[in-house]
Amino acid sequence: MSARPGGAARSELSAGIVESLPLGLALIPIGLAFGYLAHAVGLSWWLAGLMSAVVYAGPSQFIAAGLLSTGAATPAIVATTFVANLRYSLFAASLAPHMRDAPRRWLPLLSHSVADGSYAVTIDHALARPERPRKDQYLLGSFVVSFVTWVGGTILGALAGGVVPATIAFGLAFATPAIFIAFLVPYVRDRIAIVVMLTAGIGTVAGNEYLPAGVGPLLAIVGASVLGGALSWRRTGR
Amino acid sequence: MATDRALILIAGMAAVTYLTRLPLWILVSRRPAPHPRLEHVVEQIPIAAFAAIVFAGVLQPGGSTSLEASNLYLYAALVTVVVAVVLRGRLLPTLAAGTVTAVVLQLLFGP
Repeated sequence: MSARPGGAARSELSAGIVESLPLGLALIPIGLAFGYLAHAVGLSWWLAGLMSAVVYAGPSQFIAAGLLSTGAATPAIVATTFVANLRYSLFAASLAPHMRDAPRRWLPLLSHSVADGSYAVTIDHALARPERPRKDQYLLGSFVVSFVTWVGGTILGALAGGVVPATIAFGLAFATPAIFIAFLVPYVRDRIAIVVMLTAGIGTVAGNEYLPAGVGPLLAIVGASVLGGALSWRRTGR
Repeated sequence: MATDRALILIAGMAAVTYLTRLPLWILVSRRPAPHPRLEHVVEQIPIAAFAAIVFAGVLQPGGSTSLEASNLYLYAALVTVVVAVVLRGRLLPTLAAGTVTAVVLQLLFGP
């Protein structure tokens, strides 16, 4: 560890970048798919790229594109986006205790960087290396990789849409579940973890089937976390 | 789609999404004393979130539920889980094994 000021911050930043490269790789096909879909529902390449940059929330953008194609009104799409992305508040609550030494000037940008993939990479790192300072810079590094690949993939997909044959694209889209299986597996260590996993997973699938878009995953994640929290509280008695 | 309407839509989506992320800013700058019972709940968020993404991604490819044997993602997920368990969740090889399996299955057996 370097003794000069900023050394810890810089090493966390580069670790965040390097360790997010697989995530970036997974985001490219998803970005391409979103760009293609956005183009198909009538967004030009720069509008699709702008949406990916300022909304920066993949699943809700797919939902929005789907709603656009059904002719939904703007307020309805915005409201759905809000509900679908409320899980980021949970991610923020989960990350915040690890970011206590973050300089305040970074907080506006750090907040924008909370997304599924960067959350997964950063919480993994924070739990594995609690002694390291400046996790905010790790999150920032992860954001840089995710942002470039997600926005870049979107613009490429909107411009070059049909270049990847549909069959291969469907296979490549498995990149999202694949990388989240890699995130999930190390956490499944005891019975409580299995209960939480099944509750959240089955709840999400059932919610997607029967509830308005975006509501299912939110309810399932909250419900599974509360259930798991209660079980773990009962076990430790504290 | 008209550019004006698209810009309004994008601004609205960006604003409400930023609202959902605001707790990071608030919680880091205010540093509230964590409630012990709430900590137990917060500890479960990663696994619940990852499970939600994995189950929906595998069982609802393209948005509609598919529990049939024709859902090729089921087999790709099996291979991915085995690789993830053996390699303890190492990202790049797990990602590569899963995605290559899905592409190959799709080329061999896809519609």
